[in-house]
Amino acid sequence: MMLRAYVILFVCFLLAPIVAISAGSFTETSYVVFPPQGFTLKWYFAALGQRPLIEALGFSLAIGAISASVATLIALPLGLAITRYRSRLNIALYMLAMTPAMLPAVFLGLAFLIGYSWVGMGGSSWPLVAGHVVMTVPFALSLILVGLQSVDGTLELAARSLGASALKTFLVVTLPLISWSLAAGWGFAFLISFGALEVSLFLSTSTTVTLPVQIYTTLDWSPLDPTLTAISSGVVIITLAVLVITARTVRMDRFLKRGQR
Amino acid sequence: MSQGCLVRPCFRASSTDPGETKSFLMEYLNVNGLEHFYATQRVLENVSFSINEGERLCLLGPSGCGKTTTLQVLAGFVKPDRGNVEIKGQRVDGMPPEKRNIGIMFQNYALFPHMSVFDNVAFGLRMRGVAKAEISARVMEALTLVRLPHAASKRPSQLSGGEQQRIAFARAVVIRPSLLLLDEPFSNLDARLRLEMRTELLDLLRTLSVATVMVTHDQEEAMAIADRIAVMYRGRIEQIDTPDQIYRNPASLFVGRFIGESNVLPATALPDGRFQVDGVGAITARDTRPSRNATAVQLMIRPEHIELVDAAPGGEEWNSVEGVVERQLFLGHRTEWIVSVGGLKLTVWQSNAHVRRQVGEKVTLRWRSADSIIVGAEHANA
Repeated sequence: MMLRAYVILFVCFLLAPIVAISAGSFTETSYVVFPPQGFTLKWYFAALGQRPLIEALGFSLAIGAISASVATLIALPLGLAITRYRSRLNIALYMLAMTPAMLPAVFLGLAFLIGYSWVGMGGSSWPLVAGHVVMTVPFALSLILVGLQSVDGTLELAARSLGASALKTFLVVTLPLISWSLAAGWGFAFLISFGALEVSLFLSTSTTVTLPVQIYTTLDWSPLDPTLTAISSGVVIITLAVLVITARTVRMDRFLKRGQR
Repeated sequence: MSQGCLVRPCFRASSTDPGETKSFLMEYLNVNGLEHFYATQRVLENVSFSINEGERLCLLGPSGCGKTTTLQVLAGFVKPDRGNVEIKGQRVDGMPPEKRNIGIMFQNYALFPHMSVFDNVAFGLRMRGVAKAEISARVMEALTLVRLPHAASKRPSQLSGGEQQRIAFARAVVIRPSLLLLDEPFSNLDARLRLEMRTELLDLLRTLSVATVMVTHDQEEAMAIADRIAVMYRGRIEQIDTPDQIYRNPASLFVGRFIGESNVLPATALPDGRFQVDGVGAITARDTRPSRNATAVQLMIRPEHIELVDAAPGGEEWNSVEGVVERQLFLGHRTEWIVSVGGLKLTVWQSNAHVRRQVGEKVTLRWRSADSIIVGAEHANA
């Protein structure tokens, strides 16, 4: 009973800010107040009217999709190497790939900024994509590893014995069996990229502004602008949509069951 | 060399000489001098055997004896450090698994969970580029063979363990393999189903008459399925022979102990050809050792070969000793006695015994000389 009350309180604590932001976006006052007053959609229309915000949203979606795709393509062979070959190098490889998830994002952003300034990639959106790829690979990798580890190795041996080459085996046996983890890995990588602020702050220029950066800078000029709450709850909706779709393709029970097969 | 070798050529791993191997080159499957190491540990030591067309050989031994590694070498999953494998006179040990045309039934069946039963069975044929019409004819033929034609559109997860095994078998044989490998085929089934599937699998193997190598740690399975058994221990073949010969004439103490139950008594060879067992006396026995140099030997008697009698029998062919009943266990189909003889404890089994003895009662035990076997010390053929 105590545990249940604790869990409910905890969930409320987590959800309260999100609910507050989303609810605030529907109130009529021009800044967020409690108790909420009135109901309106005008801030949403206002947000739609703000070109910088909408452009930043589109840019964030694009960066998220590209980074997540590249991160997934990098994480798949990494995951294969780590699960299929027994070597001491694996641990080093794994640690290297996971490091960006452990480092404080501010340091990472600074490091990227310095690094890319040396290389001289300033001005284009590629440093941003590269930074996001490095940052999201750990998330894609950890989910893909779950998928790869859940595939029974003897299935691959069976395919080989039945006449399939190593490549064919990967394509017709391994890949279909881990596709759900690729989708989940892509989804999580996308969300991480989509919500990233620190790294993007360092790497964005006047022409490459992601949504979190746009919101952050707008806050400087007009704190508690209800259009920001509107766009934020829009972000919440996108995030929820990606989460729900991933959770459906992944079927969370597979994570809980890992290792049981 | 035992009698089984007259019927069917066979040899011991340890006594392979070049002249002997030569005569087996015409055999269907030849495995010659496999050696393999995992790190510094030797897991296979001069493993050699050959089998005839349609013959079923069973690799039998405790875990870690090298039987699974041998199977993986045959399949092409493990490249041996030394030795070679020939099928129909053609070397296959350099080939990748997909080129060997070997059907494998895996211990956990390894059915592809994302494919239907039909697609599972069709997999090998599709990889071989067989025409569509022929694929579906051959798949249905294989499914009919295992009595599951109605399961074609199901997923493996919708089938019971026994059904999954039959599909795994169908998938392994539909490609008309040159060699069939069975890895612990019954270990994932419950006891009752295991007996049922054993009979069924044996019938299928007889119908197909495909050369088969099976791996198991269960001696009953090995005896039921195999034409010949290779008993493996610590990476070597201790003995390879018919089930009957392995049981009757174990080549080493290990084989004698591993196959069936036995009373093992330390003994000393006497100049008159008999064997002295301390506390029991001089025993006549059959000596199966390849070399008779050692005087310290082991004398082996199966519990079912010993009889409990009231009076000592006459005749040269019988051994008899006096003992005291220590324990009596009624086990339904047989009764087990533990009889103390001069400080040694002998296990005695009798089927359908109507006799009951009292604990502490003095009894006479007898067995035929031919049933006491001298196997030499540990690693007789080292």
